[in-house]
Amino acid sequence: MQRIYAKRLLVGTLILILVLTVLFAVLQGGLPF
Amino acid sequence: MKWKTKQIFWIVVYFVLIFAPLLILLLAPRPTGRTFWRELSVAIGFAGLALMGLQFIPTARLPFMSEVFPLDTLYNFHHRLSVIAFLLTLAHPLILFIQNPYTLRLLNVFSAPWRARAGVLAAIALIFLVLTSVKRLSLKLSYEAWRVLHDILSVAVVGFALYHIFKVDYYTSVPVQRWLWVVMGILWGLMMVYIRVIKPWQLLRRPYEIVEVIAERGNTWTLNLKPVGHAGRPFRAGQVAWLSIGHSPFLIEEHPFSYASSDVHPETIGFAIKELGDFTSKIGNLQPGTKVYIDGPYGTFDLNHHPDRNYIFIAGGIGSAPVMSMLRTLADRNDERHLQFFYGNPTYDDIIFREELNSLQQRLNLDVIHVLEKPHAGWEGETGYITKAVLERHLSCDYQHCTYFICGPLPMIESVERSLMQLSVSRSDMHELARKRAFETTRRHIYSENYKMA
Repeated sequence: MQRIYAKRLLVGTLILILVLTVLFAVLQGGLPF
Repeated sequence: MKWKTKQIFWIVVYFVLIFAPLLILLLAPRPTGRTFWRELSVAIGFAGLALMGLQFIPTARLPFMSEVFPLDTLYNFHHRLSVIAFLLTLAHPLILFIQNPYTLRLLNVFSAPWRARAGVLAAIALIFLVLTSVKRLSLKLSYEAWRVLHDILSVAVVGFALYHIFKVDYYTSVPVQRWLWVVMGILWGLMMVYIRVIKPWQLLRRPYEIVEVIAERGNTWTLNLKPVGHAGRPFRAGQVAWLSIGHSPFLIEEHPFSYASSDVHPETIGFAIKELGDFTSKIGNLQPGTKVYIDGPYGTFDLNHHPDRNYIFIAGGIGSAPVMSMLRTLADRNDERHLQFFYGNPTYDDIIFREELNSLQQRLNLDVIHVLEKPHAGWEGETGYITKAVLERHLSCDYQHCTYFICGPLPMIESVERSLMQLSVSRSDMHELARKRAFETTRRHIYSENYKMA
């Protein structure tokens, strides 16, 4: 059971990192294209 | 604080430690922005370093953390999170190089400024760190050498990376961001000091010694220990401890094993150890009186889960060690609940604790269902593996309202869990201890039977 939760936590962490880093990049540098 | 509340608390701490740098980047006043790709590279680098530093925590075996998370899950989480951190950290310079190939000149450590040299050194140390962890066996690195190397490289990675961001000093010029990294750096350093200095020093003050070494079936030994100069540390049946046998706890060499004895008697504790590697093959030669240091107990694989329900144990081979601890404890408590134990072994002669299981059936309301991979002629019990069909034939009528403890190699656990789910058993009722994969890079395998499930 805990293994499944751990996998979800990992996926959630990765998604949140990607969203926040892209958001920051857009706010600071504007859209890339 | 309740168990669930503690879990939530630690997950919140985890998110804070990972996302604080990004949130501060987003929310605090910040210097002028540059191009999208450059800012993306910086943000990814910050996230990668935060993840990297966080790795010191799950492997520190902090008692208050291992109380709420299974230890094998923590180690597994550490391995997977490290890979993510590795990819993010390497993405940081790669994005910069692609966006502006002129920055490739920073790879020249002879001409590059120190801020870039530190970044390059951090990246090199990181590549070695991951390579030596993933390919340790192929590289023929001994476990002990690998652990020393792992420590040195880990400190080098975060040390050089911190130096890099402070020398670049763009976003760390914001005081709150600077102090955050200082505090996180101190926290990571404290973890290392705790693991390598404080904890061994604590263990040194609580030695144990071997009382007897008993040969069991299936190339297994029971190591019985008694505390020397102290009352012994209480544990819960089914938990795990790291043993340093015959040498100082300051040395890197230590090995995790499940307690196999009853937790009613912490003054005499036992570990069941199967001969699987070069260390475990020497257990039989250990002499009474040998000093042992026990780092533990750890883990949540114990009888605290649903104390009012019936228990069903499912184990393969030496996976019976924590189950024996639980059964012996329940017998000492004169527990009357209905228990079932599905026990898979290669042959009848390999059934570890076979005779004791028979006698435990007299003391407990216990059914033992042996499942033999290679049964002898005339064997009338179950054969093959612990499949859905085997479970269906023997599970008690209230099986959907029982608590399950499953211990053995990961393929066995995954197969058994799939079968139980097909039988409508809730995931939350299953507790597993799968150590082969979880500790793969940190120790020799406890459960190395090639237990492929049908």
